[in-house]
Amino acid sequence: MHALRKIHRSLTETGVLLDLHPEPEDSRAEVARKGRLEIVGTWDQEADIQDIRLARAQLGIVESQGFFVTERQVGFDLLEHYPSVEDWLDHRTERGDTVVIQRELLDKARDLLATAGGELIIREPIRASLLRRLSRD
Amino acid sequence: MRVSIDPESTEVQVIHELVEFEGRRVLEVGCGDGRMTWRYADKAVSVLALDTSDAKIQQAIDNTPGRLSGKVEFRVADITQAGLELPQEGFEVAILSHSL
Repeated sequence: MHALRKIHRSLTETGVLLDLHPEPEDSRAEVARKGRLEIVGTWDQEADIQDIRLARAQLGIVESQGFFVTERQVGFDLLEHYPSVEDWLDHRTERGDTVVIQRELLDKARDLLATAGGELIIREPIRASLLRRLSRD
Repeated sequence: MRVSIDPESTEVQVIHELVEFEGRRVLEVGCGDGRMTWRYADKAVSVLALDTSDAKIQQAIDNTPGRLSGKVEFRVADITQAGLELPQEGFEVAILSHSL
């Protein structure tokens, strides 16, 4: 909440805020090979989902308090491409992701990649919101 | 084959569809390693990009393309911290990237 109010103060009268948040409820792993996509599965993201719900609530509160108004929202899928499961796990570690991915999902992805090649794709839906700063004078 | 994030450039298309960056002063909160910063900084007049991670900011600084070094400032900071000094003239655009 404090962050959003500070951003409000740091914006000019006609400033805008672009908020980009993942929608982890719908994230999933896929294997792409020879032009085909095979869904590997999803993983427990309850901790991330709680964080996102909190963030959405905070945005809702500052809007209801008259700091910002949402002008547009766009949803899109951000795709991360990995040559192997290990590359994905390394990248998660680098990013500081702490959620443990189930062994079954990792094994399934490894098997698919080992038998037919291709690449691992992590599909993360993102919601982009454009908010206009409102004057509270 | 190597790790590639958003090679389809979907994210860059969306942010440019939503926001006019040309000639704008931009504040980015949660810039991480600067992955997204590079996708709009060329058009902005200046960018102040914040992240709480020393390592990520160092990575962003190390990877700053030479053409942007004069207009992008990366800083280890928490937007909520008391005493954080931001430019008086303000920003026309703020970006919250996976942060709150």
